[in-house]
Amino acid sequence: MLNKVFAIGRAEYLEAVRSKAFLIGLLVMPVLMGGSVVVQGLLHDRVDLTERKCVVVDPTGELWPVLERAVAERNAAVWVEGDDGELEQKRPLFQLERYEPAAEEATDVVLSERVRDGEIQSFVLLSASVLDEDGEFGERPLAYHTQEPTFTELPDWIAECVNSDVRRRRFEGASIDRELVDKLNRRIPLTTWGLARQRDDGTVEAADEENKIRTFLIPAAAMMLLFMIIMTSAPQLMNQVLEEKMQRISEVLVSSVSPFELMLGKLVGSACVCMTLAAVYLSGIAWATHHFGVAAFVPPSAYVWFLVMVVFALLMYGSIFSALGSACSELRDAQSMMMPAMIVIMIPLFAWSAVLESPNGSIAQALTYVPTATPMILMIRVLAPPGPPVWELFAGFAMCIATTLVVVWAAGKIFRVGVLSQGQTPSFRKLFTWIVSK
Amino acid sequence: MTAAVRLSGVTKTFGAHTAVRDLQLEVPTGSLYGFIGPNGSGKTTTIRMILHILAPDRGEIEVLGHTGTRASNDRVGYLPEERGLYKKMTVSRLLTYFASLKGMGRRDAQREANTWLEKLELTDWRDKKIDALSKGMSQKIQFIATVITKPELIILDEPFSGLDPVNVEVMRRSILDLKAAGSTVIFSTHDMTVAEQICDHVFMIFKGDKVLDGTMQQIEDKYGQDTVRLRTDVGASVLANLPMVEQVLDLGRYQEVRVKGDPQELLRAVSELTQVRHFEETRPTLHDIFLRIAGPEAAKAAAEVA
Repeated sequence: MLNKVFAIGRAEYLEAVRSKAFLIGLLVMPVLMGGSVVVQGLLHDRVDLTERKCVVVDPTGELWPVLERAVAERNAAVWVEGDDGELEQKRPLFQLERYEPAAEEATDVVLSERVRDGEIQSFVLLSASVLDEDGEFGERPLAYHTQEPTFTELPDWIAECVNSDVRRRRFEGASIDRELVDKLNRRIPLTTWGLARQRDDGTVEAADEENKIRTFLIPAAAMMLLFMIIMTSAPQLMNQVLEEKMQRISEVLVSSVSPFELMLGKLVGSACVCMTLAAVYLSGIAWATHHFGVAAFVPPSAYVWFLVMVVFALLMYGSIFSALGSACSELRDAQSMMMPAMIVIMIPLFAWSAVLESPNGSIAQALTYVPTATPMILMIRVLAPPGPPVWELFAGFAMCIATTLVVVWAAGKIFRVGVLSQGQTPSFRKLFTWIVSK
Repeated sequence: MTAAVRLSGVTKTFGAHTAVRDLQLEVPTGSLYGFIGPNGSGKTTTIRMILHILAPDRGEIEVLGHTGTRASNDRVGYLPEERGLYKKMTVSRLLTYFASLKGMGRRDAQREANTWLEKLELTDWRDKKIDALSKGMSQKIQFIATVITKPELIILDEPFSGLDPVNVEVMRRSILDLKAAGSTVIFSTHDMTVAEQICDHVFMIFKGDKVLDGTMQQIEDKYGQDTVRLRTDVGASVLANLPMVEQVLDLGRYQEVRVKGDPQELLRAVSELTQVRHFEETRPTLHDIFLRIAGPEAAKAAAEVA
């Protein structure tokens, strides 16, 4: 039996890796992943430098000079000397304009029209009450009006300017020395560190400072990579099985091997394709982490875990896709059946940030034991410090084995009936009866 | 003679539909056994059960000495009615792959593939992809895939369908060679004329029931020589109202007539009415026998097939 399974696996593997699609996929995935990182980086640097014009209505007459001074200082500070010695503008310039409302005019309407005309981007209505020492401001002491509420840099800056000046005035009014207040108000910076440990020889291994790459980027990237590797291969199984059915190859195949052997052979082939992809990418990652001096963040055990999880995930998802492919007779039906399967598979993608926030928390623990989510969630947890307790590693591993066995068994039952069925695509209820049938 | 295939009391139902009912059948080793009957009569279901692709609801199936398991499948070659090959594979890779599924080593498979490609004049296409082949060629490739492992039992479901006369002849030759070399061949077809020409045994199934089974000789002996092949100037119309005519099969230029009594009487009667161009006393065709056994219902089913 094994010989035939391997014969099928070998043929499937060779057929897959010799195809152009495989080569393209091999290249496209890092390009896409790397590309998105690069684009993010570029966008982070490239801010919109359009000058922002804002009108200020200051009935107190006392805050305007403060704002005018502050904006001049800020606009001077946006120019930063770049690597090449040239001055480079890093943030947009703000231009403030004072406005004196005419008597009886609806100031907000007048200024809103100017915003709509594109003459200015926003306006600020200060209330005289902001300087009221009793602290009763009224409803809108400092109102910022705009059509672009997503641009928060300007309102944040205005709020900070106004507040710090008003605070200064309050201290003065209470005859408290401003400098003393500043001194007493100094903030203490917090840094995040890992844990220290005493070695056997009595020396102390100092704690490492927390590093976003290690705690966030690497676990998240590992899970994404796992997902993408599986997704290049597992859904293909559905297409292959369906194609064999549609082209009437299945019947010849099942006259030589049992349907279960056929499915296993396909899974073996796909698992080998995934391992090839994983080997290529992991080699790249091993090289990159050494190159950038962060090799310590990805322990060798993580590579092993990754490969093992690739196999489990492929067997789980691959057998689901094979079973669906076998049950359908048309591509369109298969695609509509794929939707629910995809949602089940994507559970970890919806939950990964919650898992990372608390890798040993209750959400992470619960998701570890959601059958088809185990490989990806466990992958995050293994990589995110401090890592799960040992018993959970075993439990997660056992969960993977159990789920894989159950899913492959159930898929085999569906496959057995489906691969020879023609005509109408069965409902999920019907598929269930195939699973429980003798 | 031992049996290559033995079915005893085999029944298979799909829901409320009984595809095969209480079937007893013995295919002797070395025979060329025709499975005939109109489409949907249960041939393919019987074949699938012999291959253990389907399990019977009741009864026992013994294939090459093994009962109820797939153990003998490696020694069985199967050409299904609905053909399919991997379009993107090359001919030689496809043949070695299918051979490997039967447990044949790669080197042996390549050697056998070359022999067969040469025999069927396809050597030039060895390294071409299947989708570059014509329909007739890919059908021959599928045939090679079926027989490449030198199976002891070869099951061919409608092997000639879609082939031109030249290729039918090539295939017929190959099938007879395989039989001569000792293989048992099960030949399933709805075309009874083909079965009649090539098979030494015939098993006829209709609506899941076995209606005829035996050697061609036994069948001939049983159904005798009561048939006349006739060609006249006016066609079938002359036969209307003649008392000795029991049944007429109008083949266009020819009519096949089942005669009650002496065929010479028919000749005399027809000669009085028109010019007789051809008159031949012959045995009934399988088709005719089928109609006799299965009745008017079968005539309808057979007409739908034709």
